Amino acid sequence: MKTLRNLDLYVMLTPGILFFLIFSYFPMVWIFIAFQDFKIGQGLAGSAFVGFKHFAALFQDEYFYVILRNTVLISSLKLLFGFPVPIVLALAMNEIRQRFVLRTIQSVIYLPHFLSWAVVATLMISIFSFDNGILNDFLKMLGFEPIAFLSDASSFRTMLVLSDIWKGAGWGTILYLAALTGIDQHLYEAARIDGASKLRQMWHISLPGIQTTMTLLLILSMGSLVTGDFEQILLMYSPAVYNVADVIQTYVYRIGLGQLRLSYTTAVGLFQSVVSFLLVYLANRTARKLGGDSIW
Amino acid sequence: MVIRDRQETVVTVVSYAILLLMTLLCILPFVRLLAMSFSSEGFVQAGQVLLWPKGFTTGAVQFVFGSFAFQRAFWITASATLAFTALALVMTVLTAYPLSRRYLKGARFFSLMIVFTMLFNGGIIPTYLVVRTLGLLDTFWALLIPHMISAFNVIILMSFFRSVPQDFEESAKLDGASNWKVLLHIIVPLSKPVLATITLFYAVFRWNSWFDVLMYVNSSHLYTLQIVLKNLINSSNGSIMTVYVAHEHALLSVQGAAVLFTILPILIVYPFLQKYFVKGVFIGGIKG
Repeated sequence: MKTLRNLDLYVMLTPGILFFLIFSYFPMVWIFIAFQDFKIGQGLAGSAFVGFKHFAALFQDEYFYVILRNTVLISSLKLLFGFPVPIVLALAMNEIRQRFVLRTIQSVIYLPHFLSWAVVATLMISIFSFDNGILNDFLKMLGFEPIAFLSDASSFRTMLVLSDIWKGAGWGTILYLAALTGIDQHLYEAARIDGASKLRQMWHISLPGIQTTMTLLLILSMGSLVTGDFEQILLMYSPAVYNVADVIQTYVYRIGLGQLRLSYTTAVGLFQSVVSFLLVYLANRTARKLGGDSIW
Repeated sequence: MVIRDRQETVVTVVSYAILLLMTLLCILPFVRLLAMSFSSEGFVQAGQVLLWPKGFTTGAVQFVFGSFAFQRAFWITASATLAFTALALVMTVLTAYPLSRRYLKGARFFSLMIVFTMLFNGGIIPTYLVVRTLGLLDTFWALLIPHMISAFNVIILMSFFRSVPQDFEESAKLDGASNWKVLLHIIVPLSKPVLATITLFYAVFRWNSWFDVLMYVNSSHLYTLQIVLKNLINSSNGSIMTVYVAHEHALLSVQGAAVLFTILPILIVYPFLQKYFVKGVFIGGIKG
């Protein structure tokens, strides 16, 4: 009787499970082409099995180490400089007592999150471009030489990190703010009576109050250490900065679909997936051992 | 006591300063872009436009808003966003609800199966090959189906559904209600803020995402706004430029007007949705 009554639940579930089977699990089957010399015309069954040939080629390819370095470096820089910004912003927002002011600030700084990378890249061009960027117009007015921020290898990564922080920092505050408003106000009162200064209250009450959120977001961002935001890079980069900005995913797209080296780039992608999976798994385990907060 | 008061003031002032800076940083790029879009070519080329239009003209804006490529892309993007969001929302609710019922046999297994897809995926090329095998390449369906359900949204919704008191469901079932009835008449009305948030996430995803369009769509009659904008950005040193840019407008003015065209719908909808998504993300964040 009970299973019969829940039959409708299984009916509801079926389309969703089919979706994940087809668009998440079938591609996992196709990973097999990393071990083949895959040709589209011959299909998965008809292509020749070559074992670890592509992986061997991969580890001997000098450019592989370039994209690996870029991937890890760009993501680490984003994490290192981007992670604290929402925390600082949220702590500052927590000090604002006028609701109207707070609302206005929130409306404005959440907005970049809702813009596409294509839009953000255009904004970056209008500010940093060599010919017509406002910054270079400014430099020229002051009598300095203009700088090619967006096409120079030495500043391109900074541009990626800056635009990433600009786009995400405001939105990043939302979970921290939720955690901050969840803190028992009596703790602050008690601390004030005990003579704790404002900064001490932040250090001993606010920060521990958002620690769970920090851990959670840190674990989640571990996975992206080897994925990164390739939509952003693909939009902003040019051959002049490939050497410092080409990451695993942009390379896979460029070479895989551009030159149809499907097997080889699938091997590259598989390497990335495995590493990012391991990173999240290890981060989660470490977090659980250290403090008990973990995703699963 | 005095020192404490002074420190309090300093903290307040610093907080305001930080937030004012961030707010300005978020607004000024748009002011700059608007100034560019409404300035005439000579001033733009000479680098004389800072934050206010010089030689005011609506030429570039008219050019973009009136261009066939942009109008077509607008309708493709708008219809894809509407269809995608509706489909995705229904599918996500239908997936999350059964999984949120702890008594359902296999719910835990299927949830883990979905969580796993967030941690490990086939990668760009294998996914492309599956989409290709299904014959979706270069069809409108390619904009709707491959990314229809987000595992992340399923998880958010699942944890919210779990927080709805079991009593409602049990008493409805005693009255003879089916699971469909419970879902539609009890659970869904109680979940409005979360559903609004997820709707927003899906709509924003479809409106903004362009990499999937780049991979799955070749013919220009299916180009979305983001792809057209992307071509415009990458055109500064290429030949595509001539397709979009008439000679009498500076490229930066046209790019500015194109951005305006692309984000206008977001700017219009945004204020109405804001109160929902803040509430919705709060709920999702605390429970999940």
